[in-house]
Amino acid sequence: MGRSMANDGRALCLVAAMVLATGARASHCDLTAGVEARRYSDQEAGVPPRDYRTLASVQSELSCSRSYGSQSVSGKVFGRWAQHGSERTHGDIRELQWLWTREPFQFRAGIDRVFWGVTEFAHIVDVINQADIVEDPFGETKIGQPMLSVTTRGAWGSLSIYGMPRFRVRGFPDVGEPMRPAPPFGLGAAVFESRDGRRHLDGAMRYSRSQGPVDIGLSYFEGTSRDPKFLIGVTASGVPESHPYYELMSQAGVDVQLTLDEWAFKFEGARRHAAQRSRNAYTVGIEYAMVGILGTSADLISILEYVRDRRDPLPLPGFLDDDLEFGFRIAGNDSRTSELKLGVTFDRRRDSRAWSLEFGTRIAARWRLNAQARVFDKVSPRDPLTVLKNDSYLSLSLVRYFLSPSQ
Amino acid sequence: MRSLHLLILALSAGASVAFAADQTDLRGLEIATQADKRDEGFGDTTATLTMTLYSSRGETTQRRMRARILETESGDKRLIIFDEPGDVRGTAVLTHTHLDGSDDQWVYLPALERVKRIATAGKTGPFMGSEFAYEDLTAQEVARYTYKHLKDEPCSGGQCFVIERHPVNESSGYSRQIVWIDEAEFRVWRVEFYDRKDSLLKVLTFDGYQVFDERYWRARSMKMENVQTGKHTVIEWSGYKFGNGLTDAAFDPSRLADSR
Repeated sequence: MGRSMANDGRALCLVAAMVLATGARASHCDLTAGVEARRYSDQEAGVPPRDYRTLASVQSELSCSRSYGSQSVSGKVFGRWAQHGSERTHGDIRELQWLWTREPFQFRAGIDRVFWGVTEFAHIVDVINQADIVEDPFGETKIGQPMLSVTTRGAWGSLSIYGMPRFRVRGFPDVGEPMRPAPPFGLGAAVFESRDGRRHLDGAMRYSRSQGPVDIGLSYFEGTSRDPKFLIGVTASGVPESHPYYELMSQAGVDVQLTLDEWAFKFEGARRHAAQRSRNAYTVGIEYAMVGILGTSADLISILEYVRDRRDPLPLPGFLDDDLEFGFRIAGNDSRTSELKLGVTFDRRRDSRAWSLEFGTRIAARWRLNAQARVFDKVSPRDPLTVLKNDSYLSLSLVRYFLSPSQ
Repeated sequence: MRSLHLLILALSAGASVAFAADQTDLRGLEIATQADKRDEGFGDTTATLTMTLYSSRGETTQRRMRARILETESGDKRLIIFDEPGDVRGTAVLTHTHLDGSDDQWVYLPALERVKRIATAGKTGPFMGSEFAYEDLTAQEVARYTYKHLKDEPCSGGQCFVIERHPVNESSGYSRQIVWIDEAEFRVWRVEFYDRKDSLLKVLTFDGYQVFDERYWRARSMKMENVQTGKHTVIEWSGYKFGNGLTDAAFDPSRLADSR
């Protein structure tokens, strides 16, 4: 990770240099910088002890873009320095790409993050990017993926084809650190099913279309799975270690959203073939939006979803395989753009429960205050999530936005 | 699919049209149609908006955004990209306006790098904490209202037609609006919005009209006052450009994530 940090540092300078080289009109660079303080819950019996309970960190993201008529280059580099845990101090190129639009085509080369899907909790069809679980143990944050892609559009919809020449492995917090959904041993080298290892060429395509109240997407992926299994081995000195094992897989997916006035109905389904077996996953959801609740200007969106995921390995071990999920999102629609989000997941098979609460508000023109709580209040010992039993936390962060003037 | 959708709309609209018919008078409809016609053929527009929110205590907050508008036969397509404040920079809202008021709307959230289709019910809500509702900022298509000519009187734009319009779509946040349109160029100078309880809620005034291509009139400033709360919001438009050669593809939801 130390090396990737240095690479990212170089990339950051490259992005800034590329974009700022000539002070063109349609270019800008924005920087965000924040401090975060986190407090983990008390130690519980029956789980390995954690090395620390409070964690301070500093994070920053530089994002630059520049347009030259039909072409543009853009980059986004993220970095975090943390007080404890060598893996928590990490960086990543979220985006570094060249985009050329020649109607009806768009060509893209570089690193990008691509999201597919419609539901709020489980992201069944989303397979392009590796999860950054050091940043977000629930897998919502992704790392950048090197790719070449072409998209074409017409009255019939939109079709994208992706070629991905380089695989990026999942990073894990160190042994003894909180939020480490992996076996409690040191991490050995990654093992790949493909003989080409991380140089295996992955391919994907997606068709999408919006027609009246319906948004539909059909997708296909073939290549190395982003979700590792773990092989337990022993080092030369006899210490057990776990090797993340990345299989080859193919996955076909469909995602649909029907939006009717204040209602939204969502479905995602996928069939994954790996290790000579095919397994299915699906998630369904319903959303209801209320405008101007209790005579205020706030909107309330209520979300109910269910997921059944039989894929092996799961995107996150023991998480969202047979779960009911319930959530609220309140958008304040106020001058501070305040937002409150609450989510609860109930594991139906193992009787476990996890909560997530997020609040954010602007406290001054260029400052935002965020609070976040993640709580595992009921974890069955049978649940692979039991390794996270100690890891409920409360975090507070303050972010400052430095903007270059917009064009 | 399309025809089925239209059929459902036709059936559901049937009832309200029959009810509204006796409220409409031809003179009112004629004025609204003429105002709409005068603006036909603009093709596309880009502009920059600065929105200032004034609280009842006089505190101010500013937002800056860019707008791209494409005229199409089935209703305008609008893209708004936020530049400031910093925590919302890069957020983009795409609206496909339909003549009947059933708009399609998507939002791109840069923090999540995700495009979401949003429930159209949201359009009665305030836009970015301002006194403008989403529905005040979408295209005012003729078919969205029934009309009644009330009177003619002097206004800030000279001599004005005063018409009353009732939203056809029941999900509108208003019971009716009264609109002042000048007789010379058919520009809107003032709109009074009445809430669902039929009390006066907001007053919108337009100022600083400029003409583009010798034909298209655009206001430099729009001031929305909430008479019930004492707050107001001013939108200043600048850098209007016409004929940018924008295409339908640039307003496709699948391209929203690349909007800059």
